[in-house]
Parts: sequence; C-alpha cells; structure tokens
Amino acid sequence: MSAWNVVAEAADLAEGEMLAISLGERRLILYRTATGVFATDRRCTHQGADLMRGYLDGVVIECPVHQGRFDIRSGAALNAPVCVPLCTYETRLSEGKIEIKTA
Amino acid sequence: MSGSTLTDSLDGDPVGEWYSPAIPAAQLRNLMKRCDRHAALNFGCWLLLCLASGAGVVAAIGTYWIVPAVCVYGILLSFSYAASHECSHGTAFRTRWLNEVVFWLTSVIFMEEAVYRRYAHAEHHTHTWFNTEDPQKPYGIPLSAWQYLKETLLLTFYQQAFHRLLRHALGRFTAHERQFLPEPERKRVRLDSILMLACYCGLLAWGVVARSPWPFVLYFIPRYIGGCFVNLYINTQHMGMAEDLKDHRLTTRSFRATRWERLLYWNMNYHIEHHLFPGVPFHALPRLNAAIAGELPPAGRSVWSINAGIVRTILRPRGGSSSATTAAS
Repeated sequence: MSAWNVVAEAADLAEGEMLAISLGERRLILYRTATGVFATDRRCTHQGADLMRGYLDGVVIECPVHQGRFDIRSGAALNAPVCVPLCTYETRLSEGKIEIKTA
Repeated sequence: MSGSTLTDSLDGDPVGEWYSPAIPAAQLRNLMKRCDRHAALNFGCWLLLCLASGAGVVAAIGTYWIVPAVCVYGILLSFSYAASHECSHGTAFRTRWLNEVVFWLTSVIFMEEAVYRRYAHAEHHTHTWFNTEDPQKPYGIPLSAWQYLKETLLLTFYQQAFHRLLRHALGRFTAHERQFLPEPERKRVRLDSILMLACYCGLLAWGVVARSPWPFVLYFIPRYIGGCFVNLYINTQHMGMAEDLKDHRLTTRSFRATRWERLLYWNMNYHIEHHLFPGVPFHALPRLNAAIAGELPPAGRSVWSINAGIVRTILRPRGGSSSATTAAS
C-alpha cells in the first residue's frame, strides 16, 4: 500500500538547491527547480558516485565523477557514460512540507 | 548547503576513499557552472590558427618554408587533443549538441574513436594511475628511456590507436573494455571505427594513387610532428608519478603555463585540479586552483622542466628508493 511521507520542510529547500535525505534504507536527493520539487536516488547508476556532489542545471543532474547526466523528472539517462535510468519518486508540497510517495 | 561542505558520504562511492580537498559546496557549484562562451572562444581561436597555418603550408609547398610551416600547423592541429578531452567530459559547451559535434571532429583529428574515448576516459578518472585498471595508463614506473621515447615519439600511441581501431572495427573488444563499455555502445564504437578507418585509408589512398601531397602535408605528417610536441604536454599529466594511490596529488601533476599554452591546452596544466573535480569546466580551473592552492603540491615550472625531470629520473642509476618523480619536477 502506497503512502506519503514527510521528508523535509519546504522552506529548507530553495530553488536550484538539492537536499540529501534518507527514507528508511533509501538514500535520496530532493531537488527544487523552477518547475517543481523532484526526488531521485542519490547514487549514480553508472558506478555509484554520490550525485549530491554533482551539478544541477535546471532539471538535469550531472554525476560529479564521469559527467553522466539524468533528467530528474523522469530519471532518464541523457548521455554516456550513464545508460541506466535513475529511480525517481513522486513528490508533493503539502502545508509547507515536502512529501514523497512510497510503495 | 550554502557555506557548508558535504559531510555525509555515500557507501560505495567510487571516489569516496580518494583524497578530496575541503571546499564549500556553494563555491564548488559556482565553479561547475557551464556556458558556451569560453569553449567557443578557445575552439574558434584554435580553428582560426589551424586554418591560417594550414594556408601557410599550402603557400609554402615547393619551398624550404614547408618545414617550419608543417611544424607550426602540426602542433596547432595536434592540440585538437585538448578540445576532444574537454568535450569527452561534456563540460566544454553548455549546449550539448555543440559539445558532441566538436567532440567528434576533434577526436577524429586526434585519431581516437569518440564513444570509446569517453568511456575509457571515465574509467581513467575512476582508477587514475592504477596499474591494470586505468585503461589510459600505457606505462608505469620505473620508466625506461625506450618507453619515454616510444611514448613521446607517438610509437605507443599509433601502435595502440590503430590496433584498437582495427579490433573495434572487427567487433573485437578486450575483457577489460567489456567491463566499462556497455554492450549497446559497442555497436556505435564499431560503426565509428569503421568510418574512421575508411577516412584514414581513403586519405592515404588519395595521396598514393593520385600522387597528391595534400593528405600528407595537411594531415599525416603534421599530425605526427605536432603529436610528438603535444605529447610533451600529455607526459606531464601522470608520467613517472606514483601509482596505485587514491590521492591525485601524488599521481598527477600541474604546471605553470603561459597564456598561449593555456589557450591551446584548454587549461589542462591544472591537471591535479581537473582530476580532483572533473565536473569543473576548463575555464574555471584557475579559480578552482586559487580556492584549493593551499592543499596542493607546488606546480611544475614548465612543460620543459617536467620532461627534463622525467628524463633525469630515467637516466639516474636506480637504487633502493622509489623512482617516481615529483609533481614539481
């Protein structure tokens, strides 16, 4: 059964910023962009680099080690050396809090 | 994040155990910002210099001036290495298609298939200067005089480049290559390798069959002569440095360069800085250097002094001490 989980205060995440969070065993990143709040896994699908150290450009997160890029809205792998999509999570803003939906 | 460094690490991060200087996350993010302007300027200057010196070669044919003209043109042409390298990271241009067009063009001039180059170079950044794991580590320490000459005179490069192109054109990949090159990408590497071999063979056939000097004076000979010169720069990056260590300050060198060198070499004289933070584009490396200079070894005086230091180390009688050279040789 799916559930919404409060993971951060909306005020803690400014536009263009990223926030590392844990949700149970999962290590995730929250992103706030001009088009909304998104959440993905924190680990790059190529060799496991920490995307929290990466570069966020609009809705694209770039791996800090090999510069593979992902669309944070869909998780799509955009260019080599990443081929496997990044896992994304549904998010919503509710009463000043950021929530993530988990299965 | 502003004003803070990232302190909680992620298990399994391939570079998590590597030395990394402390730098505020906001400052690093600012250094990683992309734009098209700097790469357009560097690439435009390089292209204009190549066209002008190439015109010089054409004008000098049939005279003794052809020798210096081919040398100058060859050196400029062979600095295609620098643009190809920056584009392999995708950090040259913010506009992706521009990055890929320049990457493909300069990689063909440099004689390395672009898709393979990108994956092999990514692996080089994961396993910098680790024996057997770094696919861009063709030599180790102690380095012999013959190995230094083979490397500098492009013998290693041509031997490996053509052997690899031929293997890839035939669809053959080594076990190591299969580890870092995903199966779907191998098809692209194979097709590109066939096209590149066809290009080089076509040029060679044109020169031989039509008895035309142009493929030789505008590509093969200058690329060789200039390649030897540019290899003196590539030698500075890791040659003779310590191996199998997770600290770029010990395995990699930076050196002080003139404005012209920095333009043609796309700031890769800041090579330790580049390896520490490969997501920082070339134009921001001087600013990165200023931010972390206190944590870096002294930069080498010049490309010449580093090569002289490498040669001195090679020629020195070997005792029990390590034969790795220092960063500032």
